[in-house]
Amino acid sequence: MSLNNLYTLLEESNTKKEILGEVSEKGPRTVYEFIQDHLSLKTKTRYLNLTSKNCEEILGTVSSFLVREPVKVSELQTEERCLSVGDRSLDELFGKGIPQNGGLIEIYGEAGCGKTNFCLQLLCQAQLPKIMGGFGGRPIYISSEGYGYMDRLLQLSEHYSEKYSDLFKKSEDLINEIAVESVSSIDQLLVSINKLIPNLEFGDYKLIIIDSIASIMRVGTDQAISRAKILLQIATKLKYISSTFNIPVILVNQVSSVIREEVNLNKSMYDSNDPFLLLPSYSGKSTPTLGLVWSNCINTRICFKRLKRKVIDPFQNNQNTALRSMNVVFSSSMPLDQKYFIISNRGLVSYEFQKGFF
Amino acid sequence: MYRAIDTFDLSKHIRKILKNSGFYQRLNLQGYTTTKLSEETELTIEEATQVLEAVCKPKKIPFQTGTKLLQNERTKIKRIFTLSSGLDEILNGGIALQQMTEISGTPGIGKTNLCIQLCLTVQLPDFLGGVGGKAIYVDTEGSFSKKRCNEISQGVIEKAKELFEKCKKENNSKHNVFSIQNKQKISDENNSIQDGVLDRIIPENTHVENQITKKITQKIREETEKDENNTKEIEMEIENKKENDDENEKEKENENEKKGGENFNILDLQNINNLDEREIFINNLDPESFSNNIYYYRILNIYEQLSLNNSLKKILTKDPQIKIIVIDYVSFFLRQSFGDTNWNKYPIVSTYAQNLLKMANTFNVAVVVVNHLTTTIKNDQSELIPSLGKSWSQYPSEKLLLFEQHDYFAINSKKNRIAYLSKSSIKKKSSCQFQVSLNGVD
Repeated sequence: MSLNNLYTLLEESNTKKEILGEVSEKGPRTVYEFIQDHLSLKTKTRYLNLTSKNCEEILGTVSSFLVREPVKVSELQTEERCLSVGDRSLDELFGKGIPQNGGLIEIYGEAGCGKTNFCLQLLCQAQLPKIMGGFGGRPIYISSEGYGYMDRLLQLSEHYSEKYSDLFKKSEDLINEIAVESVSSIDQLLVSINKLIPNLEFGDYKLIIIDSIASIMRVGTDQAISRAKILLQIATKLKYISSTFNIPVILVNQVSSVIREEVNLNKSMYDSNDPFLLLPSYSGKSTPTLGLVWSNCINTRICFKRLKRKVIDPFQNNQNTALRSMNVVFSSSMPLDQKYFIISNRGLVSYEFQKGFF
Repeated sequence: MYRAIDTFDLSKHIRKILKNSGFYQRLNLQGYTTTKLSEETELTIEEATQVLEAVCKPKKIPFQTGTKLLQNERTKIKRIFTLSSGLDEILNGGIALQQMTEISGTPGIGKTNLCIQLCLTVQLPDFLGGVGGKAIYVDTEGSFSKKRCNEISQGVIEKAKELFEKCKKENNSKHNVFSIQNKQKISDENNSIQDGVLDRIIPENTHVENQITKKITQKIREETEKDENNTKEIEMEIENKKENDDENEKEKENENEKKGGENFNILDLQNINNLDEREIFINNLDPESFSNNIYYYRILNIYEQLSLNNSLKKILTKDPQIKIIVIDYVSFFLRQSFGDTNWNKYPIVSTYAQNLLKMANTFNVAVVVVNHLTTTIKNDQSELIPSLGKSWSQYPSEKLLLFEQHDYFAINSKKNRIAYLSKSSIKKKSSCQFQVSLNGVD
C-alpha cells in the first residue's frame, strides 16, 4: 500500500461510502495533506458533504495509522555499540566511546583547538572493524572549510595503514572509503542531506560529520526568526537520519565572544535573566554560536580548549606542544567530565597530570 | 429555540438546502417528522433523520456539586512525588494528576533526567507514597537513553529502600509516608547538612509547610479508614495468590537466573500487604522491574506528534494503569512551520493543549510537558520565557523553570541549579536548589 494515499487508507479501514466518495473526488491525496488542511480549517470548505464528525473520524483513522506501536523501555537496547575515539582514556569521557544512538553531538571551540583533527581521526576510526572499536563502515564528511584538511588526513591515514597493516594495505584505501561532500551554504547542505537519505538505507554508512555547521549557517540569513526556523528544520532532518538509521551525527561549531555587563550582586535570584549568563558554556569569555535555538536541538555538547600550558610530546622527538582539553558541557547520556590531551602525529593522545601519557 | 441552524453539526450541503427551503432557526423545525421534512425539502430520508437528531435532541450538560469535587480532589488528585526533597516541597508534594505541568529550562539543566525520574517514581506503590501507575514517554528529540534510565532507577530503588525503612519504623505499614518525610526534613534542618547538598529553603515557606502537614495528616486519616475496610478482602486474595506466585517463581528461576528484576515488576508490590514479603520484594528490585512499565514513543515529525495526540484516548482506554504522560520537548515541532502554506500555529497549539487536558481529566493522568526557552525583549532587556507563546501558556496549571545561577558566595565560583515555580494553582512562587547526579535528580 502506498504509504500516504488517503483514499486507500480509508478504504482499508472500512469508512462509510459517503466519506470515501467525497475524498476521492475532491479530497487531498496524501495523509499529510489532510492533516495540513484540517489544521488550517480548510476541510469544511473543501468537502461539501462532510460533517465535522466525519472529519474527526477520518482524522482518527489517519492518526492511528501514523502512530507507531509503542516500545516498552525494557525492550530497548541497553548496550549500544560505541566508536572508540582512538585512545582508551579519551573514550572514558564518552562512556565507552561515541554511542550509535548518540544523536546530535556538537563539538565547539576556538580556532585551532583541535576540532577538525578530532573529526579526521574519527573518520579513520569509524572504518575499523567492530572488534577493534570501530563501526566497520564508511563515514560521511560534509565540509565547508575547503580542502585544507587533506594533508593532515593523509598523515593520519598513513599512520593507520601502518598500525593496522592487515586491514589496510595502502593509506589510499582508508581515504577512498570516506564520502566527502563540500557545501558552502544552507541550501547546499539541505540538498546533500536529501541526497544521502536513499543511500543510508543500504547500511553502509555509519558516521556523519558536518564541519562546520556554524560557517554554513552564517552565510545567508540575517534575521533571527527565519534563522531559527531553518535551524529547527535542519535539526529535524538530522535527528530523523540519526534515529532511523542509528547513526551518530557530529557537528562542529565555532565560538563568538560575549560582552558581559557588570554583574550586580544586589539583584535578587529571579531577576537575573541575562541569557548569556544562563547559556551553559565552559569558558566565561566565549560562547558557542547559533544561540539558544540550536542549543536546544543538540543532545550533547563538548567544549574543546587549547590551554596555555605546554608539554613534551614523546612521540614526536620530544617537541613542545600545547596541552588541550575536552569537556562535556551537557549531555543526555554522558556524565560531566574533562580530559586533557595533545595532538601528535598519531592522532589525539590523552594526558593525565600525574601519570603522563598513555 | 432561536438557535440558528447554521450552528449545528451538519454538512454544508444540508445546511444550504435547509436555508433554501426557509429553515433558519430551530423553532422552524418543530413538529416535523423525517418523512415530512424530506418531502418539503430536497433531503433524503437519511439526511432528514440526521437533521432532526442533530437539532431536536435535547442535550444534557452534566454538572457536579462542590462537595463532590472536593471529595474527588482529596482522594483522586494525588501527587506524583519526584523523590527530590527540594522539588517535592515547592511542588506541594509533586506533580498533580489531572493537570498539565510545564517544565522549561536552559539546555543541559536536567529536564530530561527529571522526566525519566518521574516515569520511575510514578510506579512506586501507595504505601511508599507513589501512585502505582505506568508511564508514557514521548520523545521528540532523541535524548532518552536506556542506560541513563537504568542509572536513575538504581537511585530510585535506593531511595525507595530508605522510605521503606522509615515505613517499618512507624510500625503500621499502611501509613502514607508524607508525614514521615516532613518530620524527617524538619529534624534534618536542625541537625546536620549532607555533604554537597546545600538545602537553602526560603524562610517564608516554613509557614506554608505547617499548613501542608495539616492537610496531609487529614488525608492520611481518611485513607487509613478506607484501608482498614479493605484489608480483610485483600488478605484473602493474597493467600490465593501466594500459592500461584510460588509456582511461577520456581519456573522462572529455572529459566533465567540472571534476569532477576523482571520477575519483580514494581507494580505488583502494590498488591502485597505482608510486611515481610514487601521487604523481600524491595530487596530484589532491579532496573528491569521498572522498565517494563514505561511506554516509549519516538516522534520524528509534527504529523506523528499530532496523530499521537489524537490517539491518546484509545491508548489510555487500552491500558488504564497509565498515570503519567511525559512529552519531552512538546515545542520542537510545534515551533516549525510545515508544508508550503503559512499556517497559523496558535489554533493548532490550542487544540493540542485542550486535548491533553481533556485526557488528563477523563483518565486521571498527569501530563508533564517540556518546553523550550526563547528570548523576548521586555523593557529594552532580553528575557528568557517558555516558547509557544501566550496561547499555550494558559494551559499548564503549574510551571517550573530550571536554570543555573552563579553562586557568588561560594569559593570556586560554582554554578547552582535552581528550580523556580513560576505558576501554581495552590502554592505561591518559590524556588529551590537541586542537583543532578549519577542516580538522578536530587
